[in-house]
Amino acid sequence: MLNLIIKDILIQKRQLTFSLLYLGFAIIAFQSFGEVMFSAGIVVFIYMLSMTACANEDKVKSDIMLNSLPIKRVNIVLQKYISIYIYFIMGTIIYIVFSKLLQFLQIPIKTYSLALEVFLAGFMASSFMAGLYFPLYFKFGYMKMRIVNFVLFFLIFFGISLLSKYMQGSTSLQFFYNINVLWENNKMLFIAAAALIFVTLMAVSLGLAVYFYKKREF
Amino acid sequence: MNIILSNYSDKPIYEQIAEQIKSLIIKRELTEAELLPSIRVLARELQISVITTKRAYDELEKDGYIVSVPGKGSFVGTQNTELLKEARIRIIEDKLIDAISAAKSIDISFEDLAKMLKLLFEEV
Amino acid sequence: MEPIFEIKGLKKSFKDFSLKGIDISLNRGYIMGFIGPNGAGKTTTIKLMMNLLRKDDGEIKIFGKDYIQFEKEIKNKLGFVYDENHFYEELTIEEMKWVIAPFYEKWNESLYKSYMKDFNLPLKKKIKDLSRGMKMKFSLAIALSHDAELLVMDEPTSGLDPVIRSELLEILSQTIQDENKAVFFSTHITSDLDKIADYITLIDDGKILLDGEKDELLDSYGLVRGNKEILNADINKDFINVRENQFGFEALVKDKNHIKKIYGDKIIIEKPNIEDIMLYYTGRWQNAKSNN
Repeated sequence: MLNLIIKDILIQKRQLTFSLLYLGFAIIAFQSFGEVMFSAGIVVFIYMLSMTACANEDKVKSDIMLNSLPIKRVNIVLQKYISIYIYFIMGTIIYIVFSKLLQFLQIPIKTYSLALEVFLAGFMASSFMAGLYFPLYFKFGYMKMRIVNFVLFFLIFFGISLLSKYMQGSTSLQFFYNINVLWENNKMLFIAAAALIFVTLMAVSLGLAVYFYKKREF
Repeated sequence: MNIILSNYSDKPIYEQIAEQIKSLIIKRELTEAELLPSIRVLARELQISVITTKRAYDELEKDGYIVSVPGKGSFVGTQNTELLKEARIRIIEDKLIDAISAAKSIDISFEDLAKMLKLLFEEV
Repeated sequence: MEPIFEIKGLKKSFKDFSLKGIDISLNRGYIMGFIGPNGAGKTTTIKLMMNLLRKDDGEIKIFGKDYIQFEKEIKNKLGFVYDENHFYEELTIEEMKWVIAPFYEKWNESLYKSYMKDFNLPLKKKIKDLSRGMKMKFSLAIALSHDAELLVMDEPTSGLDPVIRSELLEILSQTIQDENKAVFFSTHITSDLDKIADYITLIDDGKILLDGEKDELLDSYGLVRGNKEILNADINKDFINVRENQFGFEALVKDKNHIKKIYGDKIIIEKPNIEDIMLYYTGRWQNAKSNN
């Protein structure tokens, strides 16, 4: 499994450096997002990395090679999901380091230390994006799903953008208000509910993805 | 041990191999109880199928020229003179057939051929 | 002795092509050439064996075991070489090996290194910078470095020059010195097989037209040439196929000795090669338009 995960990273060494720079750049670019800049940035970071990995697989039709090796198809699917969270951890660390660095060098760019809500929002948004995308990717392949994924990413990004506006008080969407109330009143419960939704969503997504991929022909 | 094959000969390859090995055995270039190359090594070296080398060895064994011991290999058998002579006679007949075909192809008559044979017989 | 692999009644349908129930089997210690024109079903068959495609019907056993039930176990002992490159272009040879090797239980690093040296492959070069021949050699090195018992290759020599093709054949010859191993090798470059194949299986349009020992086929089949005047319904029965030209005919016969006895002087008989056998069995030229 480990070598499967690392292969995705090896494939895109160039993309990785680019994404790293991008995340740094995002902090600057997403100033208007306020605190939510992490959530937005991490979603973009993960999107770029996982898309490049999928594109690379598709370019050489690696499925043919991977499925000729003694690997279970389940693991091929699982690896893509696990990688999302590897990227998430990478992105989080980079963000924290970058923020601290900016602070330390006293560069006048506003950064925010990572608040739990923002972190969770980023986590859920990324999972949501992956959870919706992967079953389709494993069923139809990268080429056919490029547009779908882009739309998905766009919707999520847009959602986060709305969230940021809400948090800065420029919109007052009922949806965000309700969530906020729930959050404030009982954080533990909220987290528990979110965790439950998350686990269910990902389990269903993973199950579907594996089911589709097992049936797939190359 | 030399084995030279022809792809254009009428004779199947296994026959060519068998005959050349028989010849080597008769001419004592391969000695009694000498170990022969394995069928696989022979196949690899001659770039032919191992089924063919096996067939050649099977034929040699059937005709009593070699003995195959499972796990050890194939060895030249011990000969008796009658077999040797018979084999040599066969070789002579083959060569005569070749000469006759060659003669016929340029319309040399039997008489002329016989004359040639007599002349050469006395010379050699 | 049980065959190293056995295919029975394999069927697979696509929109415009189908495999119509084929049987193939190969014993350990031998090389089988799987031949046929483009589109005949060679790649489909191999993909089915590798479970890259799902069969509609039939049975596939490899190492005596069902190919799906024991898929992982089988693939551990199976080496594969495909005609297209499916390795990640951005990785170097060394990195690619690093990704693949851990999946094999019996990966032999020193053996792999010796192949790399023999094949002269630059470890730090990216896969996309390798020539076609080098990519194939890399595939082969991987396939041979984990103690595989069966080597499955789909047109490994297409697009390669005769020198590399000859090198590959030598390597296969060497591999088969181990009687426990076998090679199954599809190609439409039949001259590769004229020398080293033990068995030939000919497929066309999803059906097996011919299979047997290569040397036996080449010894008993004959390429017959003669005047068109001697062609009649009788003689045509003995011909697998006939090809007429302005000045005579050429035909393939199954039993050249039999034909020789009957028609003797009136015809010329020569030893065919595998390409002749394939062309005559598939009779493709009949669809080609004459230029004169």
